[in-house]
Parts: sequence; C-alpha cells; structure tokens
Amino acid sequence: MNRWWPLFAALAVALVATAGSLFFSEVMKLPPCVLCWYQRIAMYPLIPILALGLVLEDARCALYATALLLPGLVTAVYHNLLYYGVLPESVSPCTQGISCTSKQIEWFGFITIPSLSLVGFVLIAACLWAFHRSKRKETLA
Amino acid sequence: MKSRNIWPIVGLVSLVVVALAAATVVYRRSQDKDLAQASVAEKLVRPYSPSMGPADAPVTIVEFLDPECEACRAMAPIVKRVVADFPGKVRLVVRYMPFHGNSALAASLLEGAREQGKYWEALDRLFELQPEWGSHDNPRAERIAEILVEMGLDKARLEDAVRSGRHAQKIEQDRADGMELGVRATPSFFVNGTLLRDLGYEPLRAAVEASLRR
Repeated sequence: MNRWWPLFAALAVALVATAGSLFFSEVMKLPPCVLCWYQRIAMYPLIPILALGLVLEDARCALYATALLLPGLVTAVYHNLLYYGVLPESVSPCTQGISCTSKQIEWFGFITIPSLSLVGFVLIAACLWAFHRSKRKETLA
Repeated sequence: MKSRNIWPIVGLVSLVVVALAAATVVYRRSQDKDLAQASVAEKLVRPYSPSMGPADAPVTIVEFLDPECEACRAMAPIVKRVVADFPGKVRLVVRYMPFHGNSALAASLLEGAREQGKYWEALDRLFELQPEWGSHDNPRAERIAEILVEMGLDKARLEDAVRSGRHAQKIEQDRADGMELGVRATPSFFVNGTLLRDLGYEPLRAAVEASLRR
C-alpha cells in the first residue's frame, strides 16, 4: 500500500472537502455561490475516481484526477482573489443568488469557505504530485 | 475486485460519513437549544417590528423576508391565506433579511410607507411588481420609490425616510437577529418560536394548527 499512500491522502482530503461543503450548505443552510458550485464540480468526482483507481490499482487515475483538479484549483484561486478583494468585484460572474464575496464564515479571521476550498485543492495537488514523483522514481529504478 | 486497497477506502469513507452525521446531529441540537432559550423571544419580535393582527393572538408568525426575494414573493399570498384561515387567532410580524443588492433600500422605503400608514399595501405592491424592480439581471432600484409614489404616497417623505437613514439601524438589527436565530434563507418563518422547516401552504397551516392545539 505504501506506493499508494499519496492517493489515499488525496482521497481523504476530497472526502473531507465534500463532507464539509455539504455540511455548510445542507446543515448550516449557507447558500453556495456560483463559484462554489464550479469548485464542487471539480471536487466531488475526485472521490469515485480516486477510490476506483485505488481499488483497481490503476495508477492512471492520478492523471484523470489531475484533469479535474486543475480547473478546480484555478477556480479556487480566482475565488480567493475575488473574496479578499485582490480582484474587483465587478469581474465577479455571480449574478444570481448569493454574491461570491459575501463573508459567511470567518473563523479565527482567516478560515473562510473559499480559503478552505483552496487549501483542499492545494493539498490534493501536492498528493498527486507526490504520487507522480514516486511513480517516476520507481520506473527509473 | 480483489484489492488490498479496498478496506482502507471503506474505512475512510465510513469515517467521513459518520463524522458528517455526528456533526449534523450536534449542530441541529445546539441550534434547537439556542432557540429554546428565553432571550430568543426578544430576538424574534422587536417592539418596532411591523405587525398585523391582535397583539394577544394565540399564534405569532414571524416572517424573515427580503422584499427582493422571489420565494418571498411567492409565499406572500400563501401567508395571507393562512392568516385568513384563522381570523383573529394569528399575528403576523415582519422582519427584514436583506440578502440582495437593493433589499435594504426597499426595506427603508417600506418603513417610509409605514410612516404614512400604508405598510401592508406597499409590501403587497412591491412583491407584485418585484419583476419590474428586482430582476437579477436588470435591477432598477429607482422603480421602488416610483411604485410607492404611484400608490399615492408622498414622495418627499419617502425620500427623507431613506436619506435620513433613520430605519437603517432597525434593518441591521433585524439582519443580526436573523443570523443569530439561524435564518439562512428567505423567507424563514417562526410559528410561536419554532422554525418552519418546509415552505408552502400546508406546512405553514399545519404549524399554526399545531400551535393552536397546544
């Protein structure tokens, strides 16, 4: 299993992120903004992709996961830039429902929903990269 | 599908599912406990809140609404119907939950209409014509005051109600109370202090009936 641990870690992060986002929207009833939905589209399918890849011991699943991860990561970066006012709000694509910059949760001043999402995507990116490196080392050895 | 990896995955998934379920139970319980506290009563109804119906009515419906919210518009006739179903038994209290761009402005103008004794008519009319002023892709804030003036309200006094900012504090207090009470969507109804979980005629009527039976 040791060769697979980075994918397990990535799966764990995706599970926690999914459960967390569902908790925010379905239990705490915080409305998800448009950008949150785009990030969910990238995050949720990572669970079946990574889980199936691990079960079938198919290393290619890391590639499929990366293809989903990248747009998610880009959206998360963009969302954080908007949220923290680096980009002006007028660029925001949110025209319906809640604004993507409304601050709904601010724990300890820096834990916010967009920042949690970004941390999740970065962690998964790091895991996939670690997996990729260990795989390359293996083939070289 | 024999794989060494399957059991850690099952473990991982179960762990997260159980954690989510536990967090849900804990959160719901803490929310209900908060609602059961005595201080909730004053957060539900403030002395300044617009209210319709007898003050000593056995049932009080507190509606957290946003004049710019489509669901609130859809619920407006239903609320009226339920109140009419129980003549003299229901008091309706309005609190503002300004979630949209022009919600606070609309609320200030509604309070301005209230000063002129036409609150409920103004609320009805703004809901009725909401697509004109509150559409998401083309909000026309200036229409709000125009609509009220067309109803025969005094324009200068309405403008003054907004410009003076004398209603801003109440609206902000409503929003703060709503957040503390767990209002995350509009409309949210509290029937004798209990949050209504489903919207619609039947759930609201059932909640009023249950409160009357108690």
